[in-house]
Formats: sequence, structure tokens, C-alpha cells
Amino acid sequence: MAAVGVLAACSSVDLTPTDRYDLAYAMKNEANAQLYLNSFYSIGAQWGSFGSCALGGANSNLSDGLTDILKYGATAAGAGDCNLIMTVDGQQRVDQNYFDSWTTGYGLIRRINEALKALDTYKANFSNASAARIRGELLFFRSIVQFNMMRVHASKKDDLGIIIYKTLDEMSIEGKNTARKSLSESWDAILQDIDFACENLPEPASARGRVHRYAAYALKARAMLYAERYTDALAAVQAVEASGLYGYIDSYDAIFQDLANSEVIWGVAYSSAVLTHSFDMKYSMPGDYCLSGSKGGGYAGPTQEFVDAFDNADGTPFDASDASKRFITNANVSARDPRLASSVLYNGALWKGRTLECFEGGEDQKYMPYGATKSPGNTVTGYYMRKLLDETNRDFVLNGSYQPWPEFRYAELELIKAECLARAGKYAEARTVINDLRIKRFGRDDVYTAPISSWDTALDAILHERMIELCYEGHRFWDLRRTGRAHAVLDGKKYTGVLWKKAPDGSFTPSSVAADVAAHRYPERFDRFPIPQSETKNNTKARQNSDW
Amino acid sequence: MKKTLTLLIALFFCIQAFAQIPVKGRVVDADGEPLPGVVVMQKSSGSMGAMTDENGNFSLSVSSADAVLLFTLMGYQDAEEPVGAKRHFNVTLKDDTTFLDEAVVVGYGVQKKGTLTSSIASINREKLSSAPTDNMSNMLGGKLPGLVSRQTSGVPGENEAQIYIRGISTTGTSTPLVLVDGVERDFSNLDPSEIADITILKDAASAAVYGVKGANGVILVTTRRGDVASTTVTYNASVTMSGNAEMIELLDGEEFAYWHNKASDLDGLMREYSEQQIGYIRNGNDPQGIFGNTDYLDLIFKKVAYGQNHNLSISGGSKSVRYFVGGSYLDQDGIIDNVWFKRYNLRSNVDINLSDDLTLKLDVSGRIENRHQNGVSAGSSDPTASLDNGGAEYGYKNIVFYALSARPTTKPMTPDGVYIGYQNPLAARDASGFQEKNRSFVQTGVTLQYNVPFIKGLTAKAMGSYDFQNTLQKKLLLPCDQVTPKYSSADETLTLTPGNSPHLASGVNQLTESHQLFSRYTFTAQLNYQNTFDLHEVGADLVWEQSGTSSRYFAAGKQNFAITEIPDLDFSTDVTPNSVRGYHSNTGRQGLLLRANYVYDGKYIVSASLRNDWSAKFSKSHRLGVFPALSLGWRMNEALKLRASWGVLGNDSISDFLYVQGVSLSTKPTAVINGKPVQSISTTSVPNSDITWETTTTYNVGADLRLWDGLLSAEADVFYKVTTNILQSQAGENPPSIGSNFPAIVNSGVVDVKGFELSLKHENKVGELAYTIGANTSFARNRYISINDSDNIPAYQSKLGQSLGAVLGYVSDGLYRDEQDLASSPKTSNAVRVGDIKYKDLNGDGKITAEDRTWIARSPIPEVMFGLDFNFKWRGFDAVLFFQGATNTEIMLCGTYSALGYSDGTYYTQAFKWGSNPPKYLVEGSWTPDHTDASYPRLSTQSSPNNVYTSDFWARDASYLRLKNVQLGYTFPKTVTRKFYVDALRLYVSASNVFTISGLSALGIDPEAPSVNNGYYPQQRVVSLGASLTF
Repeated sequence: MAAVGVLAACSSVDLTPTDRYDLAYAMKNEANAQLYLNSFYSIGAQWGSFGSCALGGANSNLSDGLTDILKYGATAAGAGDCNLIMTVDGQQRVDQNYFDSWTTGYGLIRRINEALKALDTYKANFSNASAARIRGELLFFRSIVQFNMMRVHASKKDDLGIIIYKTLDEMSIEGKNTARKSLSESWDAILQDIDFACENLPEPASARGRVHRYAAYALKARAMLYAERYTDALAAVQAVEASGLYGYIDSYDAIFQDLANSEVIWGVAYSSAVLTHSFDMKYSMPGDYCLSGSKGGGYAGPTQEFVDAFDNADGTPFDASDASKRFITNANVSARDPRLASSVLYNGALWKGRTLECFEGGEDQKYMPYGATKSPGNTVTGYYMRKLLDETNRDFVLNGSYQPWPEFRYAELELIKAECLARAGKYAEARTVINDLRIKRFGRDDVYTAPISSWDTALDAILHERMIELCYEGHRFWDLRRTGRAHAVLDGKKYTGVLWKKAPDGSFTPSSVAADVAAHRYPERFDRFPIPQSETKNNTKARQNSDW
Repeated sequence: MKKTLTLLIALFFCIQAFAQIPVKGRVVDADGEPLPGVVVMQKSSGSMGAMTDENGNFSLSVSSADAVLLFTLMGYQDAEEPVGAKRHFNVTLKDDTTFLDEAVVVGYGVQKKGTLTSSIASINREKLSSAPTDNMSNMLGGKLPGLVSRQTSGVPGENEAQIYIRGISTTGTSTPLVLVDGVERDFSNLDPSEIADITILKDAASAAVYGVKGANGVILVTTRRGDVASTTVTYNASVTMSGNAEMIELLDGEEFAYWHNKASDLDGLMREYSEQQIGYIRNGNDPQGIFGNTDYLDLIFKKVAYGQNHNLSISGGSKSVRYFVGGSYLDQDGIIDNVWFKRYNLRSNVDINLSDDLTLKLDVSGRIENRHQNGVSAGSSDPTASLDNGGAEYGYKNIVFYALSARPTTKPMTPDGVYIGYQNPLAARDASGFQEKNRSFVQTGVTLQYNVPFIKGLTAKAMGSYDFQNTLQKKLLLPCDQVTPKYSSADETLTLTPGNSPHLASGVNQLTESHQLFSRYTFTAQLNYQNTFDLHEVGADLVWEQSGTSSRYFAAGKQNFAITEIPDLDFSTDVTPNSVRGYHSNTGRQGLLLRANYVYDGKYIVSASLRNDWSAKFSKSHRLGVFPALSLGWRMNEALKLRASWGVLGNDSISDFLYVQGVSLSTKPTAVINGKPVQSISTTSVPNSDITWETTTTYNVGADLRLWDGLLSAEADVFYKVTTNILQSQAGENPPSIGSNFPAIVNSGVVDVKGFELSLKHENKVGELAYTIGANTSFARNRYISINDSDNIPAYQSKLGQSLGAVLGYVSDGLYRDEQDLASSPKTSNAVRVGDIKYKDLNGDGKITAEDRTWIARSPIPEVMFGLDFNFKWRGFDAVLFFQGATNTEIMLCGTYSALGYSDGTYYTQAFKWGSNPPKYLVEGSWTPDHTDASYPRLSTQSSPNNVYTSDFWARDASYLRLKNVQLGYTFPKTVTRKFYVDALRLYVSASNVFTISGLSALGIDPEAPSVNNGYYPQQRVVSLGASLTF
């Protein structure tokens, strides 16, 4: 037996893993913890226009495609989901939930809560300050996730928010029967996370590209706007302003080219061929041949209604009955809000060194009416997006797209500020905020800005400005929805586009074409998208939203 | 102890002693064969003796006529002869081992068959070496009761059978533990000439000594060792000829055009073949050289594939050194060109007596296995195994798949030498590159055995072993041009669309190499005690064992080689994305075993064991597993023994370190921070700190009967096995809100198995004809006792009570007879027409949905296996006839591809799928308006998802009876061969897989074919001619 004792001492089973890293390694020191935190940075762009949840649920269709400003050409699943959702009755269902932010969200929350638990376990490895900063980053990301879940699934009608799991241990099979919190309790929990982040994240200068406190304030402003806690939202905007780090720049186009300009508070960067997204591949036009021979997908085009919404160059509203100016050409584009040329590509526009052929039979629009084919692969409105596309990227297939995603930008915060002020009845101040933005964008101090005299007129002005300024950034649908205007604006509508025909002499003639066969529908219950069926099936305490 | 005594006597043999009376003589065995090495001595003189020579002759001198001669030889009963007046002695030694004293290999030792209380089965060398095989695992089916086997492929070197002992008893890993000379090693590529015997341990009483590894049964393989005997050299050579045993019959060109046109008519589509084209196909006179009549199966398969096998072994030894040295060479060509397997085995097992009590065993063996296949694999046993070969849809593509895919209506190549057809099997065979796998093994073992001199019956033994193996793989994929013809009968135009053969659609050549190094050490220390006090036979064992494995792997790939004649990575700089990989892993296990046996009066037997195991797979607090076993036996008389056993076994076949919260470092940057791409760490699956053994409890009752001195013997066992704490992935439904925060693998679920084994043997000798007839059968039925099912599953879909591997699917209700039937019957969501398959609406909601599925087919692993063998010996002739079969098993012609996880039609069930050449039965038996009494659904060129659901319509009984082996041998009389200095010469002819009786044979499908496949490399029928020479 003595021999056995000796043998037992040189055990073959007391192994520590040598072929993989364990959690202790991830929390061994600050450098490793940063690597761990890096895994959450993709959350910053997940619900953005380049992300896999751009629609709001786990679907990468742009939510702007659900609205009046952007039209997808396809009617097939994949690139035509927006059309299916808005025009096919019963397409969006509990068991076919395009807006399931819930499943993705809780998967991420589990990961974040895992990291929070690990941080508690290994807190001895960190100074109090760095532990607080790590926690701040984690809570920042958790609140982004929770905000996006609230935006989709919260139900005002039922006073139902989301399930709040603050720790990993609560998320267990044993504890799976947990009720959704009320709206205010949910927002309280989110606010608590954001406030911690605001207080404990560093200034941008010392964050060196990582999440900083003004990113947290920006998130707070956005979230509190949706929570209808305008005082909190306003205070958050003011905190960002007070930093003195952010302000308007002269070029609207330049905002989207890098994250280092003062209009971007925080964003997510990409890198050519290394970490990329596919925005250009999807939304470039079919005439956009890459060096490698592939071409753009031509998934979607701005609607004529959106184009019509751009003011005249002096700021006065455009009169859409004027057909000679309505259909954009190089000749008339300069008569409009300069953001039009930055946001919309039209027949004859110069793009990547060539002239865009958005005419019947043209390279960029081998025209077929909407619905004629399931995936036309070109615009059905005669326009393409310009903003957010990268004109310098000549091979978006080989290299992918790598323009950055500006998650929070100064203009959005200013518009939030305007809305908060208007909510407080400070209409003149609200108008000044909007006017300041328009002065910058129109490039003239005497720009016309509509007067504001009531909450309704304030909202008209704010929604208009948000639609133009923040187009394709995924705000429009949710703005209409949270302000209660979605039904009025979207329901029963059909959108249009322009069809240019080229005469043998090279001249072009426009005509208005329908970009919809069936009218869009926005049933009231779209104000609260359902939580997934698997939740109500397997969590006895989870209540489904009304009418789903 | 007798052995020791014999050796002691032999030691004194060389001492010259006083002697007066010279005597001499000859010693033979019961068959009259001379016995060399018999020690002959004067009884109670203690010092005088002689040893017989190779002819059995001896001579010595005795001190007086009163002396008594004592003849001793291990394995034979001692004989005595008083000298008296005799000076010449003819002595016959009787075999010492009575049936009941036969030694049987058990875990960590041997036991006498007579006092065995557990359920085991074994097969000895004689039976193993009688049938030629290139894979040991293929010859066990039907020979060992309790062993379930299934050989799904005939690819040389990859035709290993799946082996299960007493069926499957867990949803986790069910493969039995295989030990070669006490060390966990693979046995399927040993040469039969190296093996002394194979024993399978079936019940807990026998397998519990292997604790955590024993739950699925144990296969013990013992290799040959040398005896005290003069040197014997054996050379064995055989030549094999193999061909396909079963092959599906497809359409020829003309038939294809006929049926395709007919199907197009029914579909209301334009015909693809005009009369002119059909003329070209029939007459081969297409001026463009495209149309023709090609039998692709005939083109890709050779008529005969040759193989050869040689082995040479030398064994013998003296009291102090005994040895077995052997080498073998196997060369097996495939039935498809460029497919081959070569194997070289070498073994040296040496026993050295360092002193009277101390023995050293030194075993070294090595093996090289070289496998070669085409770039497109020849056909894997798992229809989905070659996933790396392409996308999911074409995951199962292999050369046979290509042959089934190709249309027989064109020539294989254009006049310019370009392959015709999108999937051209000749392109796959001849122009796709190659893949080769070179494996080399070195296995070593050193054993020191010490018979403790002070305590009678006590032996101490220590064994250390170190094995390592290298696996080198190289795969060159070459692109190949093809043209896909498309013919329009409307305007008689033929277009040829050029493209790359789909095996490498990118058109960029690729070379991938990988290297895996695996090593294992095993250390065993044991004390064995065995003694007899009057009527009490006592035995005890104490064993400590520890083992560890480590493996290292790396792989790299490059592409875009300008030339590929020398396929080396050096010749390109273009690294294939994501091809460079590397990792390592290691694990360990240790155990302590206590075992005790007690036999009273040779009648009442008790045996008990307790094994403690520690496995690195579990966290510290869950690491120790305790596995007890108890067995009882009652030998009523020489003829009948009853036995019963109970025991607990374990299974730890899961990934390493599941109890640790692992994190992984991303292989690529996942964020860009401050302008720099950075990697990230993220957690891997949720750990399970409570994870522990899967536990199997086994009950066994058995009886051994032996009547009329072996004229009839029988062994019967009945068992019940229940496995709890099954290591399986977490099924059941959880709300998404907990974010999948539960471990991937948990201990849950219960499965039980019940069954029996029966084997009968009749052994007799009538005049000069000696024969044995053996029959055995085994039955094992498993079912789910508890499983994490979703709560609201309908009862007819519940897994509870169902057997493992059973298939969930729709219940067919014939074909839609007419429009009225079509209108009034429930339908699936797919478009259906008259002649399509109708399904039963189990939940009565008027539609056919996933809710209407129920259990429709058995597992492809049979519940019942049986074997029947006849052995005859008459003068120099010997003959073997061996039948093998299985029943209670079904395979699916279409359904869910196991590795792809989705369901689709196959070539066997959907005519013209992907433009393929359909089996004859499928179109000839299909429903058409003029053939409504059809056994197969509506003829169409279009895919009809309704007709290829997983349903009982496509389940087929895979029962079979197979003449697995027939053999005839002749051994020349020694009187003849001796003249040529040959001790023995045997010539034989043998055939395996001679015929199969099965319901699937009519379709040309082997009953052991993989369930749900699109073409597989068929099992082979092998004829061999051989010679065996002993010097």
C-alpha cells in the first residue's frame, strides 16, 4: 500500500488545463480583462445599420425600410423582409417574430453577467478604480442591450418591460420562471446601469479609443427619451455639451468617414479585410463593379416621398407638386437642402468616378416594376442611398466594408435636447436648437426654420429634422412609433419612385412610378412587438404583450 | 506451480549424473504427433533427466531397473513408466487441461473456465486466422455472442465495423473499451497472426474491474508469446480478389431518355430528348460526340481488385528466454482506381527469466498504415463524414455519389477530352487530386513479474507501457473542367456550359497537410494471490493503474500552385485562409482495484471486486467513482454451472475539462480600438462543475451446460442493464431569457437494455471426420426510461419507451388514388398530385404537420445478431462454413442525414434528383397514370418534397442472413512435407461475403449500408487463395 501512496502522489488526474484558457486567465490582470471586454464591443454596432440586428430583432434589414423613407426592392425573405412585414397581413407573428430582440439580448446579457461575476470573483487582481471602470464598461454594454430590448418589446398598454437579471446566478433553469418588470422598474434598472457607467468611465482622452463617459451620457439621453424621462435625458445631453469636446463640423459627409471628428461621440470602428461589415455589398448599385468583378446588391432605394421631404436650399419646405424639380438631377439638386446630395444618389450623379445610370435599361437600374420579380437586385424607386456608403471602397467584396459606425453623434443629442425642451414647453429654446443645426447643415445663417408654437408643431419640426439628419441610421421607424405617429404616417400608404427613360438623343424623361403594389399597414399592436413564443411557453410567469 | 517445478527440473538437466541402465524412447501426444521438450527423468532422483528432441525421441540412463520414469511437459498430464526390463518406451502424454480448467483471459489476469462466474465470450487464434481479413473488427460479428457489429463500407483501410457489446445502452458514447495486452489500444489493424485470443467482457462482474471505462463492455486482445519449444517458423501467404457484393442497378442511356421523357410528359414539361437524340444514344453516332450510352458504375469499378497478405512469425524458446517475433504485410487495392491500403506490422514479445522467481517481459510492436484515396473520397462509411469536401448540400459527395449523379445519356468525355456532366465520376476519380493518410504506431511494454518465494501463490507484477502514434495527412485537391450539356428538343439546340467540377468549385488548387502526434502511457502495479487449502480455493488481487494521454496537432494549407507534380507546401506562398491551425490536449485517469475470489470444493463460487477510479474529466470533488461488483456461481456437477452477477460500471466519454469555465481567445480581431484591430477573449460553453460519471448497473444470470463430454455444450445469459446519469447535451426547453445559462453536457436521462445470449456447440468425431457445429444468437433491446422531453409533446412522439436510434417520421397511407382522394385527404404544406404519398393525420387537425410524426422505424443497429458455423476436419482436409445474420433492424432510404441534421430525398427515393440517374426499381415501380398500382410515388423530373419526408414509406427491413465465410483447406501429410524440411503445409481457398439473403438485395442495397445515403462504397466479396508453411 505504501507503493500505492507514492504513486498516488504523482497523480495523473490532477490536471489543470494546458490547452485552453480558463476564466481566471481572462481576469488575471487589466490587460487580459481588456481582451475580455473587447468581446462586447461588437454590441455597440449590433443594432446599428451595419449590424445583424439593424431591424430591431435579429434581422439585418434596415428598419428605415419599414417606413416612408426607404424602399427595399425584394419581396423574398432575406432582402425583402421589410416589405413582407409591412404589406403581408400576418407576416409578423408570435411564432415568426421579426422583432425578436429578446433572444439575442438575453444571450448577450448572460455573457455580460458572466463577466460581472468573474469581476467579483477576481476583484483582488484589480485596483478599485480599474475594477469600477471594467464594471462601467460592462454595464454600459448591458444597458445598450436592455435599451434595445425595451425599444422593441416594452408594452405601454400592459405596463410590461423586460425581465431584469442583474446577476448570472439569477439566470438559471431553477429561476427561469421570472416575471417581466413594469415599464418604470425596467427603466430604473437600465438607468442604474447607465449612471454607474457615466460616473465610472474615464474621459475620452484617457479611454484611448475605449468606451468613455460621454458615450454613457449619450446612451442615457437616448434611453431616457424613450423612457419619457425628459429631465434625465436633457441632463445627459447637457453633460455631454459641458465637456466641450463635441460640436458641429462643416462637412456633413465627413461625419461618417471617421470617428475622430467632433460630431461623433462614440462609434464602432472596422478594419479593411480584417473586421468588416457588408453595407456596401448590399446597398451599392449593380453598376458598381468591384475590381474582383462582383457588383452591388442594390437592395434598397430612398423613396420619392423622402426626396420630396428635403427643403429648398433656403430652408423653406419644398413643393412636391413642382414636377420639374421633384425628380433629382445634377441641375436641380443644388436648389435643395445640401444633405439631399449627401444622402441620395440619383440618375446622372457622379459616383466612384462614373455617372450613375438610374434609368430604364441603365447599368444601375435595369428597370422592372416593384413586385415583378422577387429579388430585382436594383432600386425600384430610381434612387440609391449615398450616406453611409463608402465611395472610396472599390472592392467591397474582397475587402468588405470598413467605414465606421457612429453610434452616438452630436446632432442626435441636440435633437433629443430640442425634444426635451419642447416637452417642457420651452418652444423657443427648442426651435433655437433645431435652427442651430440647420444653420450648419444649410450653410447659411438665414436658413428658414419652421416656427414652433405647440407640442404638435414642435414634434413636426423635430421628426422632420430627425428624418433628414439621421436618415438610414435606424431612427425613423422607432421615432414614429414612440411618438404615436406610426399609424398615421405609415398605415395605408404606398410609396413611389421615379423612372427615367433615355431618349435616343441622350435626353432623359422622368415619370412617377409606384414602388408598392399593396398598401403598407401599421396595426396598433406593432407598438409592442411580442416577446418570443418560447419565452411564454417555458417561463410560466412571462406575460405576452396584448393582442399577440 | 507445476511450471516452476518443471523449470527447476530442467535446470538440473545439464548436470551429468551417475547412470547405469540406458533407456530410450519416443513421446507423442494423443494424436500421435511427436512432443518435443518433454522432460524425462528418473522419479525421486531429483537430478537426472533428459529432454525429447523435435521428433519426440529421448535417451537417458537410469540407476536401476526399479526406477520409474517420469515424463512432464507443461500443458500435459504427467506420465510415469516403471523401467523394469523395458529399454524402449513409447509414451503418450494426455492433454492436461480438462475443459473446466481451460484458462480464460479476464481483466488483469486469467481465470479457470470452470470457476468463472461472469459473462464473457472469447475466440481463439485458430478461429481468427482461418478467414482472411484486412480488418480484425470485421470478423467478430456473429462469432462472439453478445457482440453487435455493423460494417457499412468496403473502402480498404476504412472498412472497420462499428462494434457494440450488448447493443447500445446510452445516448452518449457506446463504443466498448479495447485493451491489447492490458493497454488501451486499437485492435482492428493488428494482423490475425499476432493475436492469441480475443475475449469480450459483457457483464458487470467481468468488466467492473475496468471501472469508469467498462460500461460499454470490454474487448481484451492478447497477443502471442513464445513457449518452451523448439523454434517454429510459420509463413503464411494469401492472394485476395475482391469485387462488389451488391450494387444498385441504374438506368442505361436509352432507358434514361425514355423514363425522363415520360416523366417530363407527366410534368407537362418539354421533353429533353428527341427521337434523334435517342438515336444517337442508342447508336453512338452523335456527330458532335456528346450523346452516348455510358454505364458509369461499370466505368468506375474494376472487375476485380487484388490484394496480398504475407506474414512470417518465429516463436519458441527455452526455460530462460521465450519469444514470439512476427511481421506481416498487407496490400489491398480498392475496387476504384487509386484507392489502396498498405499495412506493415512488426511485433516482438520476449519473456526472460531473470531468476527462478523473476520474469521480465519485453514487448515491442510497430505498425505503419498507408491509405490512399482520390481527391474526392472513394466513399466513406458515414455518408456525411466527408463534410470538409464541400458545402453541406454536397457533404456526402464521393465517387460513387458522382456515379449515381451522372446521366448515362452522354459520353464521359467530349472529343476534345473534356469531362461531360456537372458531376462526372471519372473527373472525380482521375482528376480530383489525392488524399493520403500515413499512420505509424510504436507500442512498447515492459512487465516485471515476481513470484514471491516466501508466500506460496503470491505474485507481484509491474507493467509500464508507452505508445505513440503519428498521423500524417496530405490532401491535394485539383480543379477540373467539365461541360454540362443542355439540350432543347424544341429547337434541337445543344449548349455546353463550361465550369469547374463541383468537387472544387473555386477552381483554385489546394494542398493541405496535417500532423497529429498522440501518446499514451500506462502504468500498472499489481499483487495477485492464489492458493488452495484443502477444499478452499482463495484468490485476491490488488491493482493500481494510472494512465495519461497527450496529443498535438497542427495543419497548414496553401493554394494556387503553378504546378502540382510535387505537392509540397513550399511551392506556393498563398496560404489558404484559416488553414493554419494547431492545438494540443492531455488527460489522465487512475484507478485502484481490489478483487477477491473464493471457491469451495470446486462447487460454490463467490467473486467480488471494487474499483475506485479518478478521472481528470471531472472536478476534484466529483473525480472519484466507486464501482463494485459481485458474482456467485454454483457448479452443480461437471455438466451444469449456474451463475449470477451484479455490478456497477462507469462511462466518462466526454470532452475534457467541462467543469472548467473556459475562455477562448478569438482567432481573428473582433474589435478595432484606437485604430488597431484587437483580439478578444470570450467565454466558451457554460461549465458544469457537478458533472460526473455516467453509471451503468448490470444484472446477469447465466448457465453453462456441457453434456456428453462435449457432444453438446451450451452457454446462456440473460441480462438487464440500466444506465443513469447519462452524459448528454441538455435537451428540454428553456426560456430564452436565461440566456442559455446552463451547461452543454449534464448528467441526465435513463436508458435500459435487456437481452440474452445463447450459444450452442456440438463437437464430435465420427471415424476420421471431426466436426463442430456452433450456433449463437444475441438479443439486446434498449429504451428510454427518462429523457428531457418538452412537456407538451404528444404521447406518440415521446421518446419514453422508444428504443435508441429509432426514427421519428410520418406514417404513410399509400398513394393519393385520384382527384377525389386528393381533395378529401389531409395534405402537407407542399403541392401534391395524384400518385404522391399520402400521410396519416395523427392529431386529426386536417393537415399533415410535424405534429403528425411518430416512431416509424427501428434503429439501424440490429437488436438480434446470430451466427452459425460448421467446421469439418477429415484427414488432411478442413472446411469452414460460417453464416452470420441480423434482424430487428431497419434502415431508411431517405430521411435525416445524421451529420447534417436535415432531411431530404436521396437518389434511392427521388428519381432524377439533381439530374441523377435513378435506380431502376424507382422508375419502373413508380406511379404513372397507366401504372396506378405502384409501389413508388409519382414519376416526375421535379423534386417533390412531399414524397421524400422521413416516413415509413422509405423504411426498409435490414434483416439479413449472409454466408460470411466459406473455406476449404488441405494440409499435406507430414511424411511428405518433412522431406522438404517443412513441418506443415496447408493450402486453402476461402471466400467471404459469398451471398446475402435480405429484402434489400432486390434493390441492390447492402443491408449494412449506411442509413440515408447518396451513394456508398459497397461491401466487398472476397475470394482468397493462401498457403501456410511451418518449419
